[in-house]
Amino acid sequence: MKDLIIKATKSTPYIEFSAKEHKMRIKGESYPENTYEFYEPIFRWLNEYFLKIESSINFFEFEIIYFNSSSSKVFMDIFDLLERFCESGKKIVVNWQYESENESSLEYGEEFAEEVNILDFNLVEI
Amino acid sequence: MLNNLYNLKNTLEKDGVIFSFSGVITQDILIALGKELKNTVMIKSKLSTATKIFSIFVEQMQNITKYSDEKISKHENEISFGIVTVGYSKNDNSYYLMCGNIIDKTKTNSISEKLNRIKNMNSDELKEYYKKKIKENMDKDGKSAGLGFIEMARKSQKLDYIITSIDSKNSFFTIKTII
Repeated sequence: MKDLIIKATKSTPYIEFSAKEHKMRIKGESYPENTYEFYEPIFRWLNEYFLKIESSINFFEFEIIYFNSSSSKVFMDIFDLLERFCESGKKIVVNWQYESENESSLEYGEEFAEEVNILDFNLVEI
Repeated sequence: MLNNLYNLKNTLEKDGVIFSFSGVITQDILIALGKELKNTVMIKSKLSTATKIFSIFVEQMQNITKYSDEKISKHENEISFGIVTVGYSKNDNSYYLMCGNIIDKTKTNSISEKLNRIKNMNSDELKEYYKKKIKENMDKDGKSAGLGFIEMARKSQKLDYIITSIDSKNSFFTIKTII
């Protein structure tokens, strides 16, 4: 299975999803012109990955400095999808990384953490 | 007309305007102005204030690009028109952000309903409402999760709006936030 790499732009984050390393990473700022269009390949990749690839553990790293409201909806959809994979037996660790001076990144990370149930969701200060 | 620009500049300065932009609103303009706005605010204010202002600015600009009913077609894309104004009020020691665009009159009720609901909510109520909306499905146009206004309210101390009739078909929709 191919990795998914998308270069960062001024309003979209860097995406690095590695099937071999079982690691998914989203890093940067997220306020695309069309959020759903931008994130659509991610959903496609994740569905294929969890269908085809067996791994004892999978890591998902979010290191988002800023995101707009439609990106937060997409992130919630990603967490919902990951929860469903957890329910079907996958082990997934989500690390929501934030810088200490970035209050809103921590605040929204906490809110996502409140919304997930079985997903291993960690807030990690960097 | 030659004199008007100077008058306009003076009027803007009197209102404490940091910048005002009227015309085509695109993603590129949002990126460029947003960066300058953040830098300008950070000269005098804390990073957390600059971040709040930037967040509201993005939501306001993207509200125009998505929902303005004044548009032109260019290379199969539609480009929206609107106006944004960011300023600092010395009397109130606070920043303000305003955005405005033309809307089809038929949208008046649905916009008013949305904003009346959130404009009097306190921060806990806004948080709960945000968490409820984020779990819902998107609008049927697939463009929006309906979170933009809530996000503007969450990041500001006060949010208000006005819809002014232009003619039988159109109105002008203005949102003001104070930070």
